[in-house]
Amino acid sequence: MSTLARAASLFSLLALSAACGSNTPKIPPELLAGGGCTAPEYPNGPFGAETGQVLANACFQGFRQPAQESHDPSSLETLAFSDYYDPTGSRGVKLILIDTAAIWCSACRTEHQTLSAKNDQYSPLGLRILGTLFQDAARNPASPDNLKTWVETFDSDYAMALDPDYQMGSYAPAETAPLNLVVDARTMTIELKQLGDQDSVLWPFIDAALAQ
Amino acid sequence: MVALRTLRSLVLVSTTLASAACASTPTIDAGAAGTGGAGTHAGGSAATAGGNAGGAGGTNTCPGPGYHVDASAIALVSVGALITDSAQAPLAGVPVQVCGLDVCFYGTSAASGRADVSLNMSLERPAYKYGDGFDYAKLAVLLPTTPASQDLGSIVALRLPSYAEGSAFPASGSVTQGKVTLTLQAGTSVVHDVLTYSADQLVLRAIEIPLGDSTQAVDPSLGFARAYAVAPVATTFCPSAALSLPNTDGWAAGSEAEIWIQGLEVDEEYAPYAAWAKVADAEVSADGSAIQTTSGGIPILSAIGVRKK
Repeated sequence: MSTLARAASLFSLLALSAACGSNTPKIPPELLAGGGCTAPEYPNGPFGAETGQVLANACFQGFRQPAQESHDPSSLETLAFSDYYDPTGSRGVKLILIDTAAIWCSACRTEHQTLSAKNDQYSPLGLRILGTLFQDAARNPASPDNLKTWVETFDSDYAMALDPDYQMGSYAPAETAPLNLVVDARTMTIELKQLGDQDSVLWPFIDAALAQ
Repeated sequence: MVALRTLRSLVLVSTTLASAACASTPTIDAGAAGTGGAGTHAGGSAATAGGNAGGAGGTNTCPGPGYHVDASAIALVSVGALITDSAQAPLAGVPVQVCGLDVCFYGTSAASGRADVSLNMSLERPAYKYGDGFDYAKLAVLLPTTPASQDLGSIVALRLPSYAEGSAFPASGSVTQGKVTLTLQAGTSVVHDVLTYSADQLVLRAIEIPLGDSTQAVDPSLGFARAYAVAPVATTFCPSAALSLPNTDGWAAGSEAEIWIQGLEVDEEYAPYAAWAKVADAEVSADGSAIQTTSGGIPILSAIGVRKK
């Protein structure tokens, strides 16, 4: 994990702790920064958080294919942005849609009502969707039980990960959701950064990018 | 996978269902209250593990009319209010949101009672929601299109009864909390928002909304005589629950009334987001003691308003 990503992660955790007060549940260490992972093949920096910049790698615990696996917390596995890095196209991945969600955010819920259908439509074209759940309804860090209920509520058939220490805080503040990042899997460059669920912008952009 | 997809865990009706519903249901302009649609459920019996206390899991087979809202994005810089208790004393720690159809922002009232949310972006049909249905009743204030920085003035946050004071939902029959009584037919599917609430929080809690202090969320032009906030928010009933309220204002026996609810979530099926819609007709009982629904009912736990016809 890059220094930048670690620093961002630590900052996010501190910010989250401050925001949530002393009653904030402790995050199990194994869930911090997704338990950590290495990706020697991942692009080198410099990394950034804006359109045109390279996304730093990050690791999470989650379900890679929740429609086809148990949702028991013991079934959590490590997911990383690097899993989708495909510089030669050998994995068939062209674009990655990375999404943030929180249970308190009803716009996030609305967005996830449609993501499984979008995944069915766009996965054969080379899009991979990775959703990250970062807070519960009371703004506490999301738990494995929250993730289980989430994927069962929305029948998620795309990757869904826990982000209790809000590693995605490098890209948007925790007070706002959802965030959508469209990333070029060949270079891990952020092609679109969009706050909010704006179908009329996001999906035409993805259509155009996949057509290239 | 197909089988798994049929196991939707409540709360949210499937996209297909929602789309189908939207295709033939009311369209409103941003800012308008919904009308009509006394919400009798489309039918069907319980298809889920609902129908009993704490029932959770499955699909509600009684989708609401659905509301398609044509809304242009509104540019907002900030939205805030002074959050107080009923004695007008500032309240700290009350959660608020500015949530549009597309994006949500979260805030909390400070020690001064101010709950200001900085946005600096455009939102579709934004509302200022205060309370979260845990400690405080959840209500929504639909925001006007201008100005970009809005101060909603003083808003009274309503503390809900404790969970210990709440009443468990029966498999059928009546449940009363505070002044609100709901009656569930045998076989009613009770679908809770299990993403939001834990099992021990799934009890009925209700509080009367002081209309004079809640004009932002309950527009006086709606003409409600009484209004109530209830939790757990977003619990749905299929078929709709019958409602009984005390006839506090002494309306004559047989007087006709209407029951309305407020849409609190952006994907609300039963009322437009942050607006009110009629869901039932009601009548004062023969002994004059209660206002009782006669057709339609409560399809979802939200804010409830009652007005005389």
